[in-house]
Amino acid sequence: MSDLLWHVIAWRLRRQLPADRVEPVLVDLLEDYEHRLASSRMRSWIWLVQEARSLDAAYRRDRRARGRDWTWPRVESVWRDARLSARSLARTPIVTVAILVTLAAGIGANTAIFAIVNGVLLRPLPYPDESRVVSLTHRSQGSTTDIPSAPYLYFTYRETARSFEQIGLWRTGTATVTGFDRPEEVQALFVTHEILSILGVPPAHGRTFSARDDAPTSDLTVVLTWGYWQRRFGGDESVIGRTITISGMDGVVIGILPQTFTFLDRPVDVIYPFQLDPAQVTLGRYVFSSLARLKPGVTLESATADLASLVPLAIDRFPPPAGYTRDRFAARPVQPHLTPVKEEVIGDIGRMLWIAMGALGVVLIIACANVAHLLLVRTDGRREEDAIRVALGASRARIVTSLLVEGGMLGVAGGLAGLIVAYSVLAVVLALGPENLPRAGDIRIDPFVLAVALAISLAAGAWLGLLPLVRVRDARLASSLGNGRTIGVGKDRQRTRGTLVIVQVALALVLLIASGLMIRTFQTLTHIEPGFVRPEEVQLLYVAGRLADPDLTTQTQRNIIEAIAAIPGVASVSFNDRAPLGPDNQGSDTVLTAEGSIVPRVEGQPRPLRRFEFITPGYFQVLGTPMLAGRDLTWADLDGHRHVAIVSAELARQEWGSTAAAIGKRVQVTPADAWREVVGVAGDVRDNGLHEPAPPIVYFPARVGRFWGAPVMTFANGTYLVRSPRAGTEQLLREIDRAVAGVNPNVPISQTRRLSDVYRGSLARTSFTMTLLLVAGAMGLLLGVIGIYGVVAHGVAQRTREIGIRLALGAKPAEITRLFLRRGFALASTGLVAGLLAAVLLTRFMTAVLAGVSPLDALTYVAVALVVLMVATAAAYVPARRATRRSRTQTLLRL
Amino acid sequence: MQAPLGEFEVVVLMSVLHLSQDANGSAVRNDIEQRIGRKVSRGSVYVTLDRLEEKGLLSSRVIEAPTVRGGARRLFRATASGVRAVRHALSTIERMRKGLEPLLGDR
Repeated sequence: MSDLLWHVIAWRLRRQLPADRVEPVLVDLLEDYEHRLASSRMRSWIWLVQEARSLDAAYRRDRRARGRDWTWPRVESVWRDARLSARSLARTPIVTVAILVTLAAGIGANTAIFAIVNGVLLRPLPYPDESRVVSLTHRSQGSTTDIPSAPYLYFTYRETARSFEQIGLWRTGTATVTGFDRPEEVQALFVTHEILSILGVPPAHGRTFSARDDAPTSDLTVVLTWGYWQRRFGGDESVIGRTITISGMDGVVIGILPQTFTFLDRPVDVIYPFQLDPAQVTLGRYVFSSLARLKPGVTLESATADLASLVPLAIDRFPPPAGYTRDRFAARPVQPHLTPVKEEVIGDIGRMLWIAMGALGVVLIIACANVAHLLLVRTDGRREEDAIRVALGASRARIVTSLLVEGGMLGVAGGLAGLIVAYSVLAVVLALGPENLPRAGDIRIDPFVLAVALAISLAAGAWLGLLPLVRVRDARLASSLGNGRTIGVGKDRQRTRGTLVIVQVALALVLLIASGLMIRTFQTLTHIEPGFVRPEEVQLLYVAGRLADPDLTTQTQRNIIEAIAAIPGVASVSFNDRAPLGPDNQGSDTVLTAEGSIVPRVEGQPRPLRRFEFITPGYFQVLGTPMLAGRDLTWADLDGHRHVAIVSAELARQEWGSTAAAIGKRVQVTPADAWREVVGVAGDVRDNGLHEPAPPIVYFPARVGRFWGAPVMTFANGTYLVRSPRAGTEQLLREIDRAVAGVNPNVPISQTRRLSDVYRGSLARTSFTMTLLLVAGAMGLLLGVIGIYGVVAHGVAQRTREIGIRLALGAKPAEITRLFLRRGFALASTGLVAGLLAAVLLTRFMTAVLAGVSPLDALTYVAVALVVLMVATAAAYVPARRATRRSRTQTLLRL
Repeated sequence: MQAPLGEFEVVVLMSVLHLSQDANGSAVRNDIEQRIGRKVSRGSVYVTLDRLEEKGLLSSRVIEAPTVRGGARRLFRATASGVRAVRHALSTIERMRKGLEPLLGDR
C-alpha cells in the first residue's frame, strides 16, 4: 500500500518540480518516509501527503513568481483582461469602429468567396462514392477535342471492360407530355438502364430501370424527378403504375427520384431508357454522353488503357454504316478519355474561382495590415502601460495573454460583423452571378464555412494582438517610462510601419493590374463581331415541330414561319436546328468532303470537323449576317429537296482559299450521298462562343434528300428566330404562341429568350471575374491609401515639436512639406516597384481567362502604376501640408 | 551589491554553514526546526536552497548514495559570497540593534 502511494506521489512531484532538481528531492523525501515507516509511527501516509503538498505549493508559487513558465491563465484574469480591453477600445471609438469595419469587410468577403469555392469546387457531388464516377469521352488521334461516346463502343465496353462496375450512355433533350389540357414541353433525360445505378441514388418511391426495361421489345418505362412529380402530379404517390404519353409513346411510371437528386446540375423532369437494339448498331454515331463507375481501387490510367485495348475489338464486332468501310474506322481508332464527373460539372469555372479567392485573400491581408497600423498607433500609449506592469512584477506571459485577449476580441467581433457582410455578399452574388455558375444551389454558409470563418477571425486576431510584441521584447523600459515625447522617433518602429504600407501598396497594385487585364479582356470580347446585329431585337424560341410525315413537317414549318411573320411588328422569321451561341453547341460535328479543296489530303490524317446547321430561308436576314457571295436558300430549295448548301466565310477560306472561290464548288457528306452545290457564302458567326474563333459552318436546307443515307430528312426540332423591336415582351410571346397554335396546337413552345440574353450570358463569366477583381482592387487601393495617409500623419504628429522648432529656426513651410512628402513618395514608389514585380510573376496564372491581351500588357501596367502613384502621393501630400500649419501655432503655445 | 536577503534565506544559509559538509535538504530542515524550535515547511526549504544557489551564495553537487533507494543526493555548501552575505546581514541587524536595548531587553 505504501509502495503504491509512494509511486503516485513520486509521479506527481516529477511533473510539478523542475526536471533538473526533482530526483534528489525525492531521494530525501523517500529516506525520511522510510524512517517514519520503520519507527512505525501511525499514519505516516498522511505525513507523506502533507510533505508532498508543501513541495508542490512552494515550487508552484516560485514558478509563478519567476514568470518562467507560461501557465494557463485563470478564467478570472482572462475575463478581467477582456473587460479592460473593451473599456480601452471604447475610449477611442473612431479607431475601434474603423478597425471593426475593416476586419468585417475583409473577413466577410473571404467567408463569402470561401462559401462559393466550398459549394462549387470542394463539396462532393451528392452521389455515393462520387470519386469513382467518371465521364467517358473520346478523342480522335492527334486531336484534343472531346467527342461523345457511341453505341458500338458502349455495347463492347459493357460486356468486356474489366475496370468498371457499370457503364452507361445518356443524353438530354426535350419531350412532350400530352394527355393534359395543354401539351407540356419537359426536360427529358434519355439513358441506358445503368445510368441511375451508376449515380447510386435510390428512388424515393417505386424503382429505377432494370436491364429488361432497356430492351427494345419491352414496354416503355418512365422515372420522374421529385420537382416534376410535385409540379405536375401534386406529389400523388398513386402515379406509380399510371401510363403517361411522352412524345407520342405510352410509358408506365415506375419510380420517383428523391428531392436531393440532381443530374450533373442539369434540369431534368422525366427519364426514360433509349432501348437501343444491338442488332441495329453500326460503327460511328458519336452522339451520346457516357458515365461509368470504376471498380474500387482502379486508377484512371489503367481504366483508360483497358478501354483503349477494346476499341479495335469494337470496330471488328459491328458493321460499318452505309457508304463507309470498316477500314476507315480501323485506320483511325478513337482514344477513350476519362474525367472525374465533378470536373465535368464544374467545367472551367474552377480557375476563375480560385483567382477570385486569391484576390480576396490578398484584400484580407491588406485589411489586416491596415488594422495593425491602427493598433500600432495605440501601442505608443500601450508601451508605457506595459513597462509599468513589467516593473510591478507582471510576467511576460501575462502581458502576452492580455494582448492575445484584446486581439482575439477584435478578431471575433470583426468576424461576427463579417458574417453579416458574408450573407449580404452571397445574396448579391447569387442574384447577379453568371447563369452558368454550376451548383449554385450548393452554395451556402454551412458549418464548415463557419468554422473556417472562425479560424480566419482568430488567426487575424492573434496576429493583430501579437504584433505590438515585436517591439515589446526589446523595449527599453527606462526610455519608455521616461519622457514619452522624444525628439527623434524610434527607427525600428518607423520601419515596421513603412513595411506594412509598402506591402499594402504592392498588393493593391497587383489586384488593380489583374482587374485592368480583365477589363481589357472584356472590352476585346465585347468588340468582337459576333456575326449578328442588334441581338436585343431577336426573339428565340424552341419548338419541337417534327412530325412523322416529312412533307407535312416542312409544310407546317413554313406555315409557322408565315404565321409568325404576319404578326404586326415582326420584320423576319427563320429557323435553325441549332441556336447561335447556344449551350447545345458542343454537339458532334461531322467530316465533309469538299470538291476542289485546297486542303492537302494526307493519307491516314483525320479530316477536320465541320459544323452542320439546318436552316430555312431568311436565316441570315433575321440575324443580320451579310451574304458575302451568291444567294440565300429559297423555299423551292426545300420543297424540291435540291442539293444545295451555303458555307460560312471561314469554311470557304479553309477549303478553297477565298469566299469567291467557294461558289459553284460541290460538297458531300458520306460517299452514298448526293453532291451538293455551294450557292452562297455567309459572314462568320461565332457559334462556339466569343472566346473561340468563328467555326467553319455548312448550312443545309431544313429538308434534304439523299443525306446520311436517307432519301429524305427534315429538321424541324430547333430554334425559331424572330426579329422584332418588340422582342422579349410578354405580348409578342403571346401572339407568337397563338400563331403557332393556330397552325398546330400540339406543338409546344419553350426556352423563350432573346439573343441578347444568350450573348450576355457568354460574356457573363468574364464580366463576373472582372467585377470581382475590380472591387477587390479598389478596396485594396483604398486601404493602401488610408495606410499611407496614416503613416505620414502619424509621423507628423510624432514630430510636432521638431517641426515647430525647425520652423522657428527659419525653415520654410514648403521644405517641411517636402520632407514628409518625400517619405510618403518613397514608400509609395517602393511599393510600386514591389507590386510591379509581383504582378509580372503572378499574372501569368491568368492566361486561361484572358483574351486579346497578354498578361504583361504594357499599357495596363503603366496606366495602373501611374494611377496608384498619383493617388498615393496625394495621400501623402495632405497630411504633409497640414503639418506646417498646425505645428507653428502648437509649438508657440507649448514653448 | 546585491539586493538584501530575506530573513528565511539568512536562516537557511546559516543552517548550511552549521552542517558544513552534509547539507542536504532534509538535514537543513531538521537542523532549523531543532534550533529555532518551530516547524518549517519542506517546500520552502528546498525552494530557498534553489534560489540561494541561483544567486551564487550556495553551490551544490550530486553524489551517489547507494545506501538510499534511488541513489542520487544533492548536497549544498556555502560559497565565499554566501559567507559574506551572512556576515553582512548579521552586521546590519547588529547595527540596527544598537540603542534599542531598553526596548528589546537583553535577551
